[in-house]
Amino acid sequence: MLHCALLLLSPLLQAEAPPPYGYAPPEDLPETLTAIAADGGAELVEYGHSPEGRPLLALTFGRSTAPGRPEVLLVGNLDGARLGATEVLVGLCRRFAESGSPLLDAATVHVVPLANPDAAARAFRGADPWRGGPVDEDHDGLMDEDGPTDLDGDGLALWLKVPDPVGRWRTDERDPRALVEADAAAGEAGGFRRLREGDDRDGDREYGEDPPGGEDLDANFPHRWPQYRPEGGPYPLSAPEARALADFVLAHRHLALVVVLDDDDAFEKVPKGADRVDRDATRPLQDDREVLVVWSKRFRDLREADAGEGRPALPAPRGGADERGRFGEWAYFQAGVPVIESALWSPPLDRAPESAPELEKDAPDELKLLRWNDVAYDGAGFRTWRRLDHPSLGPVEVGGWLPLVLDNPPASDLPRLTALWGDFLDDLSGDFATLEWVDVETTPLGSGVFEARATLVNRGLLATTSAMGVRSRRPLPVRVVLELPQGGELLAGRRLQSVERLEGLGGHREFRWVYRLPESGAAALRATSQCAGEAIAELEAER
Amino acid sequence: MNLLLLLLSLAPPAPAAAAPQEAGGVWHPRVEIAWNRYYPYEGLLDIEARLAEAWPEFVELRDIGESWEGRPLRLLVLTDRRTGPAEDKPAMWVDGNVHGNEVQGGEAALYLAWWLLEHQDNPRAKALLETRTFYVLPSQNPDGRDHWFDTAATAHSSRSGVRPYDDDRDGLLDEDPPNDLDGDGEITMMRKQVPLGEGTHRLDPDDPRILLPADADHPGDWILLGSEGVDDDGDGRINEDDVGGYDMNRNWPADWQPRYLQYGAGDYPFSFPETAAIGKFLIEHPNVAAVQSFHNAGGMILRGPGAEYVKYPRSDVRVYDRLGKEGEAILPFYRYMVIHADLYTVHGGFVTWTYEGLGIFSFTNELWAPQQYYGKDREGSGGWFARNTKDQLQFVDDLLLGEAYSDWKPYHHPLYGDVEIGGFKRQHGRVAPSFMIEEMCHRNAMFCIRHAEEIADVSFSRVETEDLGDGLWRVTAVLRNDRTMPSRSAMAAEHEIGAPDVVRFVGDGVTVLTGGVLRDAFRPERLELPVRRPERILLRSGVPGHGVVRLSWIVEGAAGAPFRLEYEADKADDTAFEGVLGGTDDAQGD
Repeated sequence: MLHCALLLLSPLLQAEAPPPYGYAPPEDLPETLTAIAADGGAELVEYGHSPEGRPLLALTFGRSTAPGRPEVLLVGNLDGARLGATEVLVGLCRRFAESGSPLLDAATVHVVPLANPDAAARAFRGADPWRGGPVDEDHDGLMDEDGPTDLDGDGLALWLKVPDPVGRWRTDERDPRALVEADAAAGEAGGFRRLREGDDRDGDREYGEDPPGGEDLDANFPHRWPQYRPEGGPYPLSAPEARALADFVLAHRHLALVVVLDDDDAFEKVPKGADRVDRDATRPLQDDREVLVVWSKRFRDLREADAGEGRPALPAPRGGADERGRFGEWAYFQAGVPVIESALWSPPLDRAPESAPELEKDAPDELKLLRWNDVAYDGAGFRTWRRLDHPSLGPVEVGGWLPLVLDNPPASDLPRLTALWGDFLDDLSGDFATLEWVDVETTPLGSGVFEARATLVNRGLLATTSAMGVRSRRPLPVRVVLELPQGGELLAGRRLQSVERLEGLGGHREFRWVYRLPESGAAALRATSQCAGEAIAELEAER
Repeated sequence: MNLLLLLLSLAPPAPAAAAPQEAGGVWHPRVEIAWNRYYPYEGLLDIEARLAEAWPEFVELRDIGESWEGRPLRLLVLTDRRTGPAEDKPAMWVDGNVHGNEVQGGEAALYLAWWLLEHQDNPRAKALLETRTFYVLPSQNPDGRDHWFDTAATAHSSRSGVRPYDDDRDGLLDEDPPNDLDGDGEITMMRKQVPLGEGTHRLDPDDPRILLPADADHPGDWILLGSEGVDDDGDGRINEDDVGGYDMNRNWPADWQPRYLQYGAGDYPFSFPETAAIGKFLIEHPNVAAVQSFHNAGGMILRGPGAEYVKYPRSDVRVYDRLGKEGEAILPFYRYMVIHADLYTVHGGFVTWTYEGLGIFSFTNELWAPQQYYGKDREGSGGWFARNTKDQLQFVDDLLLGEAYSDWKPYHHPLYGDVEIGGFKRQHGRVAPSFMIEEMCHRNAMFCIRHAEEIADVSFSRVETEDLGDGLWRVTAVLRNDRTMPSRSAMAAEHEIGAPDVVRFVGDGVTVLTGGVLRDAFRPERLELPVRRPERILLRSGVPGHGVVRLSWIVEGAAGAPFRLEYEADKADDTAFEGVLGGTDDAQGD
């Protein structure tokens, strides 16, 4: 907090310190969320706890008992090192509590700013965010015996640059800091190996290959679970944090949208759609993709509008979404809920000090990142290579990117990112599926017999159930009931009907019934849903 | 020569002396159990308790979890504890009844324990409990089991557990089960007579209990209306949301797929308390080297894969084939089959997980084959559930005096009007009839015993030291496995499941200079050097079935210096050899 204040008071400062400068320690989160809940009328929910005993926390805003009220879940930082996602989500909580949001009028919103508190605590200290139970990554029958180690006493385990005639890394001549992979096809020779800083405690000539833990929370979900990979864990949802998050999603039957801010991105560039899904599906169904495309464009427009004079646009996040066993894929392909997966931020590749000479377009990213680092942090995000006498490798160099720098925005970008996401979420308020009865007609057929016709329409951008929801059969269909008064009799049609899905923006279904009414009383139509509200129509005719 | 003698002495045990009964004696087992009936869960627990009381040095009961309704999952841990604790021995897991209606697996699992205990005079039975552990869980699904006994059911119902599930997706749970309309304690079938020509069926002129399909020459005057029941929830459908509604044998982690790809899968692997508890136990017990799971019916000895997503390594398939073929001989009318290729696709099955996920050789037996009704493959009596009604009725009439059949009785149904209710009771079709239970249990127990006997048994069969001069020695050791199963399945080796086998060279006055696996018995320099220090050699593929691994070290030390070789494996007994440099040239591990 103190760091943040200083930062805001120093707008002229050209370069700030890299993360975690200006970030709140993850250990403070429970206190912070408790205070927000108290101030803003939100509900703090502990939906589980981590193996190290930290609470797994969600803040719920706008809870309501209105039938069919949609819910939205915002989840951040399954990775642990994505502290920026946690900051932005905490910022959104503050915004909801302090100024409300049109979104809260339309939906109940659950915010999980930190899905992986154990890993985040380690990441904040500069350590690898290793998580989960012990894993024998190098399959030697020993657990966690050779993790990265700080050799030069700077408190961090970074990288070793080891001279090696058959090494495939080389120093780029344009920047001696840049260690890049040699491209044999371009006639480049290597000369170095790049290893994690460590001392090969198990003597197998691998460095840092069997660190403490090793399961990855975000590889531990059941869709495309990496069965034989150490990071997948011994079985899907073996990590208590993953299991608790999955249970949270499954317990909230009204979820209409899940937003994941972490290290994968399928939002900046929405993947191609698919006509069908199977066990290995990675592409959204075409119908669901269309909504994501609308939202993605809307988001990018907001980001562009946020840029101004002397204020370059926030950088677009990079990163694919091809890792297996991710939460985001599971929430879509198995829970059947539409999902936005964003990596939030990536270091821009187009910033350079004014004095820097032009780079060819295809120059290695490492060079571009180093230039950005010079502008953003005055070079402080990269530890310049320094000589080290390694106990077994002899003279080597130690250095490289500091932890967190490449995965988290400068603290000064956090308020803008929070505002951007807040504005985007505000705009979602009109997009939820909304049921309405139209063209309701009742025709008397004589002798107390009536024919009713009515059309149920969805006015929202979102369908009543995603196409994937229909496929997964997890969300419940819309239920349509003809309610007859005591003594009424159905002569044609079905009293109870299910509608799997009404598409967005006008998706509709027509119904017909013939019924006999008693001396007094009227019939009514009722449509109920999980996240498209409820629609009731009185059938006007009376005997 | 020595070596040859040694080989002979380690050959598989000769046929054992007969147990007392078979020897013609009068047998008095410590625990008398009637094997001509099926027991509700309480009865299975009672058998477990009686065995534990009668055989305290062999049986330990451990509750490894609870069912959804709170019944204990009580594991019977069976081994001769005088020769070591259960967890120190390679083990076989045996369970039954994951499907609530497939009750006989419970009796079959307990029969194995009982028979082994009551035959400790038999050298093979004795050796088995001295060197192996059996983890016996008679029912994976005690709630489903009791539901099958306690409520009106069919032979096929109560497959699920009893945790409520919204089968018809109307927001209500288990609100439209079948109904025992005629109050006879059974769920049977409904049929209705209609005007001639409007029906799909007609009565068999020889036996009016049987309906035959109508055809052009024989117009129908009956229709079938499914299982006994009414539309409890008024949604226009009958019996569409029964108790439970899932399949715990689709809830295991290997190739688990969600419900839209695999019926009954559950929310995610281990989402049920029963599967979670069993899974935890197996993950925490890497000594389990063999798995047998009992189901019904059809007479099958099944192995994976359950789906085409994985290929089993050839050397493992050879092990499976050998055990499976032997099973076909032990179990008349049972066929050795591959689940996805010969039966149907199963995602997230139990024995596929224990093999594909844990590297354990695993079988599912489908107990009871319809051919057994007549003891021969009577024409037309085939099919999994014996669909030839005439033959089945003849059996019920002749051998059970009609007891397993409920004659058709009139009933006035609220929707269908006048109907008839009747048909086979749950005791017919999938479980062995009472007088045939013991044979079913015994043959399946013997199949388990053969499986357990073939768990890897590894020892140092030969160790030699050769003086190379100047205080240098070559130490060569042969590890031999005299059983069919390798100490580590090829599946486990290929996917790095569990820990590799380890051989350690320990010697205070001896320095190991190099060492490794010897790839050519005649060329001592063909050493595969280990990645790490040669005092600890990893055997990633373990010791093959009926095979050897040769190891060799170059060491420095004085003649007579003692050393020790230690072998450790997840799924074989640990063993060690103690010798001295320049000492005797062959030995057997302790």
